[in-house]
Amino acid sequence: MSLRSIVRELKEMRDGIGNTSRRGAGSRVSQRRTKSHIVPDMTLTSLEPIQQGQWANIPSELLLDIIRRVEETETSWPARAVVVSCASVCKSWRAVTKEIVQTPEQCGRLTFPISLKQPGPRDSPIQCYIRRDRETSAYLLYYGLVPSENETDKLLLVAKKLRRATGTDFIISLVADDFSRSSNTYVGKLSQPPHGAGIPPKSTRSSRRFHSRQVSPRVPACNYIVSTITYELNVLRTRGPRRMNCIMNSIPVSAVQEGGTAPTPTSFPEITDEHFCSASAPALKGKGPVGDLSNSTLPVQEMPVQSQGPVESLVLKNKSPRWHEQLQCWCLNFKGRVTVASVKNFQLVAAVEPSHNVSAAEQEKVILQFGKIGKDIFTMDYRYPLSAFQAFAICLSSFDTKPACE
Amino acid sequence: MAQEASSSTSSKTISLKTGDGEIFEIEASAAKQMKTVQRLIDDLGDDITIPLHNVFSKELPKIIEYYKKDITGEITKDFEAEFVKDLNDDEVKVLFLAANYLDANKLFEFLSQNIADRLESKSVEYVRKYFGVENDFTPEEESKLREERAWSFRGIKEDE
Repeated sequence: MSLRSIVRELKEMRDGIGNTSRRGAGSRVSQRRTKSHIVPDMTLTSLEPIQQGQWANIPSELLLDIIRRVEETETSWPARAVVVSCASVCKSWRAVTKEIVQTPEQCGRLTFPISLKQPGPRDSPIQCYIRRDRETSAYLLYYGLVPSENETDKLLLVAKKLRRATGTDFIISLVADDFSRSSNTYVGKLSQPPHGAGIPPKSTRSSRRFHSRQVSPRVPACNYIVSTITYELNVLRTRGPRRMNCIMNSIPVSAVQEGGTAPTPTSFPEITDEHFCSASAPALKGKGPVGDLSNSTLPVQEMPVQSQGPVESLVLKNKSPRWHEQLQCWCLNFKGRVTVASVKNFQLVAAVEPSHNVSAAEQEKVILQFGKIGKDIFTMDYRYPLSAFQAFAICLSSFDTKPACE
Repeated sequence: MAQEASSSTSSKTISLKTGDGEIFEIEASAAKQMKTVQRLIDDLGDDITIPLHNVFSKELPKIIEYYKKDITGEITKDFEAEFVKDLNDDEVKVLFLAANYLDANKLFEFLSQNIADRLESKSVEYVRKYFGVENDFTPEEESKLREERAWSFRGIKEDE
């Protein structure tokens, strides 16, 4: 009797029966571990002791427990790098880690490089800052409210400004020392046409676009235009605020409607044949279709399937500052995140019509805020539906906007 | 205050036999915290020596020490820090697996967190070695992952 009942008990444990204890408040309820590793082959005649070297084949439930704790403990950088280490150990570890880590939209945290291309959280922005290095013509995006004293802030993206005959490009990379387009660290670029190219003085309008490396199964590898940004000076020229308009080709206007979502890539694309097709996106005002998504070069698994023709893109515009009579300046409420007046400072909100059915609360949300806090230091706060990469590129466009005739 | 075996369970001791044949005593209330043991007791009775095939004489005393402290309600952060202080990585692993086998929840959670803490700021190579895991990525995949790690550790490329 005794041997049989021992077998039964251990079998029950293996099947996880009665294994339903829950942890107290404050910690996530983790999947209860089963005992499947204890007695892989139960017979009535013998009980095989488990070899001591079982550690290498640690059951996935236990692994999940440890990795989950690592992810929950190391929430801030630089410690969070260990989560990336866990994802590099081997294939099963990568699967487990990727399963545990949530997107920035869900948890407000950046973990993998791909987090930079995923939308930020809906409720409160991810706060970063940009440091301009004039000597190297580089712009560095860091995670953090303001530069920390010991300079340990997490570097997210780096842009290098390159002046070409065709205009100015900002090449955006994951690392500070490699801007090669064929490298795995290349993320995208912002292109700006040369200034003063036959533009009448009164309505100075300059347009720039930024691209991201994308691949479609149907179209050869090419640069996909993520957004087209236009700046329009007002009649007061440099003395008054500019008008910004960003057509987000990669984000549908439905993203800010009730129940909407924004594209969330889960991995960087492969580079196959690096051949550039200039997908011409005319500088529209954002009304009407700007791209046929059924032929788009967006990651197929993320975009909603469009069965009927083109989809309207989300347009962002800057909030108009108010003229402060006493202070004699234009003012926006940056909530303390911007402290130095500059024509470059802006706040972007969704530009929608009543027909778009976007709630007042959504319309009020500042999706991207950028502004100066010191010599060559700027804050950048972004939220859903923008990603860090998109936000960074839009901010970069603010840097090189000398009007044509000045 | 161990007494002679009686029908009352409050101060009764249970005999546990390790996989390598050694016998240890534990108080019944402590045994209750190890669900595996408790189930065996429920089934076999508390007068029999309970066999624990997958726990050995090296680690069982440490586990008993933990639960002895637990039943007096005296487990503090200091105690826990002291408990793991002199344990090397292998010893922690063995205890962790034993706690899992015994279904000793409190100890399991504590050790799981301790292992997670030991991984803080560690590199991939360290984690692989610690868990005895082989790298099964292709060289191509590995090169991409190196970029990913370069970004997370410094934003500067690693040396190849």
